[in-house]
Amino acid sequence: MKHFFRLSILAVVGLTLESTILEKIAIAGVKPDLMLVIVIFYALLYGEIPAAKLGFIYGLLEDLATGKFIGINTISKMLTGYLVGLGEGKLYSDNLMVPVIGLFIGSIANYLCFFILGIIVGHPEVFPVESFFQTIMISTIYNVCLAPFLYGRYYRLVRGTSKRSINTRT
Amino acid sequence: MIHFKIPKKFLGVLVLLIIALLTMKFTGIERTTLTPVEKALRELLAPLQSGVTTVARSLSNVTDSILSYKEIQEENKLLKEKVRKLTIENSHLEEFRQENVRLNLLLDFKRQYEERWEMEPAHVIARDYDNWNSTIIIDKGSNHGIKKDMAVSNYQGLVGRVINVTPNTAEVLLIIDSESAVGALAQTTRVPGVVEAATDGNEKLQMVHIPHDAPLPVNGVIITSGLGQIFPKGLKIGYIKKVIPAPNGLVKKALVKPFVDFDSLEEVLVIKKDKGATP
Repeated sequence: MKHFFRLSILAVVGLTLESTILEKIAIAGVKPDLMLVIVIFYALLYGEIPAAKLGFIYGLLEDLATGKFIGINTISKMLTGYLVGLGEGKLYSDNLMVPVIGLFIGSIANYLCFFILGIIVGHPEVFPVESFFQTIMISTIYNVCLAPFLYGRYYRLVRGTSKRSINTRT
Repeated sequence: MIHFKIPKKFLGVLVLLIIALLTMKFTGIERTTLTPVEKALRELLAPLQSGVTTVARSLSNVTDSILSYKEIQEENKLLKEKVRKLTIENSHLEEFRQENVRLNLLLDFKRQYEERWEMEPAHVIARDYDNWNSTIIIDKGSNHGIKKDMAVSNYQGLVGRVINVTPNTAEVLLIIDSESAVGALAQTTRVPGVVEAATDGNEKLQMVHIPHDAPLPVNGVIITSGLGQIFPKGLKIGYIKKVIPAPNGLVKKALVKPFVDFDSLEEVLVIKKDKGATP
């Protein structure tokens, strides 16, 4: 229950920040995807099935808040959570390189999925191919850059553990 | 017979994917209404978004001020320099404007009297060197036809007379100097007298040698009489401020306020020749 509560708070905080102050730190109109970052971190700690569920819920919340193309974030984040979650257990989750790689792979997977779904639905004007690679590059780098600042805090928050260092062991 | 058995897990994902694609398809276009769930979510987020935006805006204002401090300082420096330059420019323009006004008045005076007198305009280039004399130096001299004892005027009235000349300058003794004496008369009553530097009172000039019963109206204009061959007749000197009887009771004197502002003389006209035309 405590775990659920924490994830709910994170969802509300993520949605609020994404629609407010993250706009101010956007680079070339691209801002970090906080909800995706949370799903990827969760996947690294809890594996593919719980991460896919969280990705589904977070994506759906994002879609409902946006009010357009409901389902696109739901599926993208669900599949991303699942994909990144496959690495759980095979990697040391307390190593700082793990979230960096996870965010890199997860971000690219998420945006590819997002783009493909957009093409399937058939609204090319909303998902322009020209700016797609630029958007995917900036978003991925932006998300990866958040790892050193957020992973340790997130680790302690969801695991509910006392303060512990994230080392660089591989 | 070959049977394809699809795992339940993937079947679920497939169904989910189809549902998602369908909802995407129908929610991609412009929507007129939102579902109750969407409305509720927006209502939930709205106060949080409002609070965060307000705080972020305040912080942004503060950080903007800090970040732009150097820029503002630079701008301030540039603006100060600009203000300094404009002030100097404005001062020059004001100087030109005032000079233009004075020269126009002088030109009017010259045009008014050019049939009677031949006049030479000149700039005042220096004042008297000591406290005992009231003289000015002008930038025209013998090279310009200026000679000793020529009358000097401006658009306001009589200024003085030339007392010495060099090729390019001339010294003018002002009528307020104690050495000066001008034959004068009251314009309306034609009472004659002599205008000289005042010995008492607040006025700079006085008219003396007036019979005790001569009519001298206060505020009456005093002009040159033309007697003495130095000052031509009809130049305005000043107006009567006060009439004072002499202690012996035989004569009286009048304190005269000159029309000319002797403290700010800048351009004058030297009357070189009386053409003899009547005023």
